Amino acid sequence: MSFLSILCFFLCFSSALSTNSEGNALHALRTRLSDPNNVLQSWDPTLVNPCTWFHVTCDTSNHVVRLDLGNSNVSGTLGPELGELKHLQYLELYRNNIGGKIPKELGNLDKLISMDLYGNKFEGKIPKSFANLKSLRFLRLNDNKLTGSIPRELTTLSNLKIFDVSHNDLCGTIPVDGPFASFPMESFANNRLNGPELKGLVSYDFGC
Amino acid sequence: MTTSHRAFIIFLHVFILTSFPCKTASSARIEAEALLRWKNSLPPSPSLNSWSLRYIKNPCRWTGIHCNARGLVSEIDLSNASLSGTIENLDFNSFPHLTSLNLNGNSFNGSIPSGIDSLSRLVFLDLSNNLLAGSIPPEIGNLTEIRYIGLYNNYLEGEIPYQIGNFRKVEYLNFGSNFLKTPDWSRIPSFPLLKHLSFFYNELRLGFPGFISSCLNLTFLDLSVNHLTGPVPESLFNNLEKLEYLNLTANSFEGPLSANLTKLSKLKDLWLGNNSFTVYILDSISLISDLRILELFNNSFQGNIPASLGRLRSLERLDLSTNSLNSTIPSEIGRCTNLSYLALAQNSVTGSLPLSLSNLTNLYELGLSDNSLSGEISSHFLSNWTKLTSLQIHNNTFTGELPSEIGLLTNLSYLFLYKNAFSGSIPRSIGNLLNLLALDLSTNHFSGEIPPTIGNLTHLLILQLYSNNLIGTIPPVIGDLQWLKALDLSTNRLSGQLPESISNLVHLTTLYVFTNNLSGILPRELGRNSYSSARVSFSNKRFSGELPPGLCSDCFKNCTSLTRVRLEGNHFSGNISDAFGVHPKLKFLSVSRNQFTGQLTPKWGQYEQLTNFQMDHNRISGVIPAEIGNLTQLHVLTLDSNELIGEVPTELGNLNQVFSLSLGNNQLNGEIPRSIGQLTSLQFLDLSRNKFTGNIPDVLENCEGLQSLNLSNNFLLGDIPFELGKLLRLQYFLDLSNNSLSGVIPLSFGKLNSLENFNLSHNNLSGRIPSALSGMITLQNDPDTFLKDLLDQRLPLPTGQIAEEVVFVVTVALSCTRSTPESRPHMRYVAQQLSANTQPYLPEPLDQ
Repeated sequence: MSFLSILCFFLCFSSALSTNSEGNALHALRTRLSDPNNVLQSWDPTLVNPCTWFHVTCDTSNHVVRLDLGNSNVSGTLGPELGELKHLQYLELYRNNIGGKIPKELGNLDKLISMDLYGNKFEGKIPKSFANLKSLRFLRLNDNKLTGSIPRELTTLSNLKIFDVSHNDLCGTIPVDGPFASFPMESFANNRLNGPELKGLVSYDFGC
Repeated sequence: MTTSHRAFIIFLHVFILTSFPCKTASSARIEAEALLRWKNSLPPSPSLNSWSLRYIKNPCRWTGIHCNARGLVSEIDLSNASLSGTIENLDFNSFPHLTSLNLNGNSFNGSIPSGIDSLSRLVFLDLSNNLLAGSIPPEIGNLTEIRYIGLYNNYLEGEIPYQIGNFRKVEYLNFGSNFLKTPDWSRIPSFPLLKHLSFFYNELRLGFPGFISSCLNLTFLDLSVNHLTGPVPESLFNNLEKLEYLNLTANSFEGPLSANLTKLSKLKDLWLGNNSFTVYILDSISLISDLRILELFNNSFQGNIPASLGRLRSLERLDLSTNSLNSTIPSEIGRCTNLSYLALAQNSVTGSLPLSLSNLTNLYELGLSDNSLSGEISSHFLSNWTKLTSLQIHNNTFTGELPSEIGLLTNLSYLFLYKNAFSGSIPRSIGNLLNLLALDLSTNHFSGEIPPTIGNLTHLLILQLYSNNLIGTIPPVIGDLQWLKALDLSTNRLSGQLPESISNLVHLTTLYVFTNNLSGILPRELGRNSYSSARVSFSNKRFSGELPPGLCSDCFKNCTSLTRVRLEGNHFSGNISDAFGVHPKLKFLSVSRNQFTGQLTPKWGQYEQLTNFQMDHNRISGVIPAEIGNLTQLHVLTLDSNELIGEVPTELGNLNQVFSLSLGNNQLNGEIPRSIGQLTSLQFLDLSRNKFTGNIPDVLENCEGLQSLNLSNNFLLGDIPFELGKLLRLQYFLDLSNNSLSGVIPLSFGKLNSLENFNLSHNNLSGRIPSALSGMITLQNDPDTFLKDLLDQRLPLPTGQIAEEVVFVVTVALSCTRSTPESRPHMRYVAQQLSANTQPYLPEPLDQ
């Protein structure tokens, strides 16, 4: 059984060398993703922080503010650990083959300005927790396989300028309050949505 | 050798002495000759010196040979005799009376010969701990008298032969630590006398081997480290009531733990870690009252840590780590006073440590890391836990000061308190922990100075104190920690110079002191003694002076193992032209934001593994050598904000993995080379603030991954190529401002609907602003700069009320050009707004 204890020692040792939760979170993401183009090759978990990893950008306090993995041909799923990237402003994962559910923990990223998950294979619901993303300006979830209704809680995102959920499998009605008053109909195209909400007449998950 | 093994031998002697009363000289001669033939086939070994022709008449006196009463060989015991060669030349036919063959602990290779089945009287066979390969011959099943068979720790492969089912008398069977595969278990019947069974560390797959549940006399069962799946059959719990040792670690068994588990009431050791067992840890597990070892780590258990575990007074080892347990630690655990190993790490355990844990005076290892535990570590615990060799409570929310009683734990090798909220100073008594190998107090709120007693910890390999509030200077005694491999003092408020003594740390591979208030020059000797430096980082704000020659001339030139260099953000100066030798392994170089001078030499082209080359914000002069184009592994190249001159070499077009290229803010001139179109991985391109002339190359359309393009502040001429409108991934920047571009804005720009920042100002553009630009729906909401840049540059910028009205009118106008009719304002609303705004008495314009 000695090799087990060596393994254990090695794990303890390496976790002692890794430092911040952001690096750990990103490394956990790496383990979930398959990366045929080796775009994550530089993600060395033994480094003191992830700021020198490619496709990761930090601010002057060494906090991760950008994750740029659009068009990187990665597949796999996302995990709750992404919620540890508390300082993230840009989460750019568009046009990949990432599947599974969108982790509700992404709703913890309250500094987020832009979340681009479009052009993947995400399924399940749009997390209600996105209503916490008060700084969010761009939310593009189009071209996935999302189901359920558009959470009404998102109408409280007063900074939201761009919202695109077209080409999914969403149902229910389209919100009309808050920023949703100004989003064009193309943003909702190709779903099973039942047109703009008629307040008091039809429940918003009508047809779900 | 176990006691049961010894009992066997004694049993065999009695058996042999009584069975064969008469002597057969010729048979004895045949045996002696067979032994000699085998010996001669083996590489010479002193252990067989007594085996010689001279004594051929009495082989019974040879080393390792025992005879029966008739003078015939009955036992061969050559265990741990330093023998090698094969057993293929041992003529088994010559030993019809052999009952015991023990070759354990040699270096025999080759396979197990199928002829072994000639040993028809064999009762004891031990071939463990050799280098035997190949598969187990099916003929082995003919050894029907076998009671003890050990093939442990060889290189045996293939399926376990089902013929072992013929071992009707076997009591001990150990095939562990080989590469054996799953046979058709249904062809193997039960073994009525089997007590000890191990298939540990093989390649067994599929479900639980069916025959095991009928081996009613089993006391020891080890199936650990295989790939077995599915549930553990209820029949195991119902039938094997004699079981004392059950080890299923590191398989893929699943399902809830059966309540029938408690029927195994004689269990002492229960190892179920590293499987997929689910739901709850049985409260009733405490009914197995003799449990000594309980390992359930790395499963999917949730809910409580049962308080009833406190009844297991014999418990020595409890490992519940890496599950989803979310209760507090029950104070009853403190009753298990024989515990020497307690691991609850990587759960969601909450609350503070119950005081009763101070009763656990026999603890050697305590692992509570990665939970949500809180409260203080009272001195009461520490003064009772003096046997601890490892204390790992990192990644919790423990608070308060670290009591000076920590100095009582003089057996500690590992002390991990990192990522908590400990405060106060680091006790001086930490210097008493003379056996420490790793000390990690990082990411807490420790304040005060680093105690100089730390210099006593001369066995330390790892010292991590980063991300605290430590002040004062780095004590020079740190140079006494001669075995130190990793030293991380970064992100504190340490001041003063790096002590010269750090140069003594010849084993250091990681040295991080960045983000402190350190100042002054680096020790001259740094790096001179250390040829294993792999990672160094000094990024502080105030280091100055030239790089120490030990790092620069000797190490930077000669350390062939150097893989990463980070010196960014200091005030380092000096000429860098000749500072670096050639490091074939260098992968990462960042010396950004210093005051280095000198030139880029063609030698840089030899860093073939370099993936990151950042020299921005220095005072590097001269031209970019064409040899940089040899660095084909490069992903990031930033040379911006230097004093580079000359043209961009065409060869940079070879860097087809580069995704970030930044040459801005230099004195580069000439045309932008057309080879830039070969950089198909490019995402960020910055050539701004140079003296580039000529046209914007249309081949930029090949860089279709571009997210940011900045060509501003050059002398670029001619039309904006419409091909730029094909760069649909442009998101962060498209800045062509402050050039001499002419002609019209390409209509194709309207398709850039992800773009957030767009600037074409200060050019000689003419014509209309294409209405298609209203498709650029993501432009950031920053109307002042946006509008200013769009307005006719030949007119003075509007100010005051005029500016407000312009903003207002453009805002209204743009809202009328929204792409979907539904989102455009009503004409009546527009008319109202426009007419209202012209009323001179309105104090505030409606400009949002």
